[in-house]
Amino acid sequence: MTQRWTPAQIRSLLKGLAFISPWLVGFGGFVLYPIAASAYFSLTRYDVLRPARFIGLENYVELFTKDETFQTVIGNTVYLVVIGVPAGLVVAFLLASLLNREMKLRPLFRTIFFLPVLVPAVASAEVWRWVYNTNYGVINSFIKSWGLAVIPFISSVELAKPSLILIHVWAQGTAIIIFLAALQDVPRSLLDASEVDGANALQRFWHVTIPICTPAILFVMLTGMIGMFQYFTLGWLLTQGGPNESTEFFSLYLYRNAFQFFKMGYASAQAWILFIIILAFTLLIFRSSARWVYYAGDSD
Amino acid sequence: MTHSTTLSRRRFLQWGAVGIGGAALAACAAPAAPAAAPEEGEMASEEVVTISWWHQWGGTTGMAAMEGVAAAFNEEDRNVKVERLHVTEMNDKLLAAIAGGTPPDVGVCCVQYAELYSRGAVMALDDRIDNSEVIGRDDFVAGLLESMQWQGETYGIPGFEAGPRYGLMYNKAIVDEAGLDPENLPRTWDEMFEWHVELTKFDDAGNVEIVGFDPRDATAGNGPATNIPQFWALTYGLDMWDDETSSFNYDNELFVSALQTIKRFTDHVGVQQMESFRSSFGGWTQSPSSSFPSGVQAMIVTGYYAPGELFHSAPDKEFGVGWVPVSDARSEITFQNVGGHPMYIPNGVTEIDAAFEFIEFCSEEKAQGVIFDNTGWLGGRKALYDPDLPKYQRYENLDWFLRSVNEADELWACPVIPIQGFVNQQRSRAYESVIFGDKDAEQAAADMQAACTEEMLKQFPELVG
Repeated sequence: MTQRWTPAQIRSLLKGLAFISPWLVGFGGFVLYPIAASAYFSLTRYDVLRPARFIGLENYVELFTKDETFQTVIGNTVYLVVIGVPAGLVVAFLLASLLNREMKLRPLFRTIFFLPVLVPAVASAEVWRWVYNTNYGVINSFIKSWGLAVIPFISSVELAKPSLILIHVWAQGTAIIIFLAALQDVPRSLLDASEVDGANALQRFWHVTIPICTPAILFVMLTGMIGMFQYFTLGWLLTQGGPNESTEFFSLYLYRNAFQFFKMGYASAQAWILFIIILAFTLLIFRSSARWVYYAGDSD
Repeated sequence: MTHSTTLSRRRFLQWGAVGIGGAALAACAAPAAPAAAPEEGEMASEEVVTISWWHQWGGTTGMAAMEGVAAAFNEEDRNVKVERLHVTEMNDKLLAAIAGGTPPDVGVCCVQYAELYSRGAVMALDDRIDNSEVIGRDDFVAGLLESMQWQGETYGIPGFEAGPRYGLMYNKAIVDEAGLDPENLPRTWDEMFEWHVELTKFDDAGNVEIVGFDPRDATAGNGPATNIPQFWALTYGLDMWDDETSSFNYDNELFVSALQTIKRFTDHVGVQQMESFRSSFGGWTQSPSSSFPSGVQAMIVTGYYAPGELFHSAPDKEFGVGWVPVSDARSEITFQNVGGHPMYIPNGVTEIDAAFEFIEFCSEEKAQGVIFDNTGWLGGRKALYDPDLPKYQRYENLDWFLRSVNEADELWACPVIPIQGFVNQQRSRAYESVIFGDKDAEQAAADMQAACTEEMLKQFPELVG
């Protein structure tokens, strides 16, 4: 049986819609429509300047069966996610643990570790370009002064991705803040109880601190994973996808297709594939979280 | 007494009707009449049209030139004024602006021109050129206007930077120190390789200190300008693009030889070292920290703009110039290529006359003087290609480039390939896959041919013959 809305309820609904109409217009025009348009364009050959031509799933088929660069791009991006996200997470958690201890100048250290987040991406790219430079960079100048061969951080196929991951690890200020908040929520009573039971510092950290912080770890892992799949700025500024496509990541290649090759339909198909990959990873992590994330408020 | 906090439907409708009615009345109202209607001629002289002009060039010298040109135009007694906007990542922004119906009135540098011409994104200017009292088809260096044409129509005018692209420039001090004779520059790639070996220096740990020649720098290299992918093909006498059939010619033993030559030069330094070197210093000649101006690269293939740029970026160094090397089979041939950045009017622009007036101004001597004084760039006008003009003596070696246009055995125009961006990426892949050893040159050439042909068929099936 359906319940009819009363005029008062309809008025109330209309008023509510009127109040959120600025957001609704923005959402419809700048989110919903582009998403729908992108889904349609992914099924077309479209270069922005000429009308789109419907080609069914051809873009998707080509991406998976013919496009050699796309296979490389997937490999590079998965490498970045699989190595970069855990590396950033571990370093951020360890640093947060250190910063959570009683020490002199603690506010200063907390500020220092957060500073990289405040540095604009272009500025940090320039700083790291100088750090990594093989001819006059700070590290290689030192190495050269000892008469040794320089380290080609971002100009080597083998080292370019790890070098970019190192920059990612350096800029973990936001994760550190989140972990700090989580660490301050670890009940003192649990730590004391485990100490009384004979647990040493490492055991307390492993069996008490980390489990209590797992909701924060889950959050940082998820947002980090999503961000890493969309990695663009530093890769574009520092390596432009090279050398030999070793840092050609998903978003870089998507951008190239859209704006350099005038293949907006093909780029739209890539965007949807990226969405599905991120969705799959997110679901996978969520599914697995039931086994390793501990919510203190849970009754069971 | 109670106050209702809700707005009744009746009151809402009443206020809404008042608002809509007011708006409708305002829209229907006749525009206010001017206090005194001017005569027709008087009105024309007072109506000032302001056009927008986007350019990507920046940097100290480039920005000074752009500002100077805009100022020179605006100070003239004209009914057109220009508003200049420095736009980075011009290709993306212009594409979005054209698609959104808000393009600038005039654009110059640095977009993928061929893609815009071939997709009807910019206007054909033939009628305006033919009716212009300032610009004539024969005013420009041979080949330049052709490099701005697609399917017989002209979409751009050489304005800010256009001219010969290929000269082998060398650092005199490094060449002298190596005991090489600059009077006898290498003519073939084999001779060039001998120079490369002599000029390249390593420290005791094997780190490269000076590179003789980087086969992927400046106009020999990987940049997006349309004339660049032509270089290696032309040195081997290969025309890589057939305009008639819209087909490529990369799967060819001449292009294979070109790829092998690139690898040979790279291998002597070491691919890793060469990549590091390029990543450390940057290329071309405009920036003082680039390898050639900073004196850690002995030779470079570059264009006529280099003398002016080096005047600013390396004032303490001396350079020489000569013909670029060629394959053994072409050792008696000298060739030159002309290309450049067109000024264009995107489709959708309404102030077309005003936009074209600005383009005409930029191609004239006054604007060309401002550009040249700040950057050393030329706009491709034949009348200004007199190497003996006093002002050209300011930049050493510029006269060689100006003469080369008339003295070269072959003068090539840049091809207009409608999938240029895609071809550029394939070219980079081909070069890198060969120098990194992923593919042999034959395979890389065949793959490039296949990829470019397939892409052309997808994007322009009606043109492929």
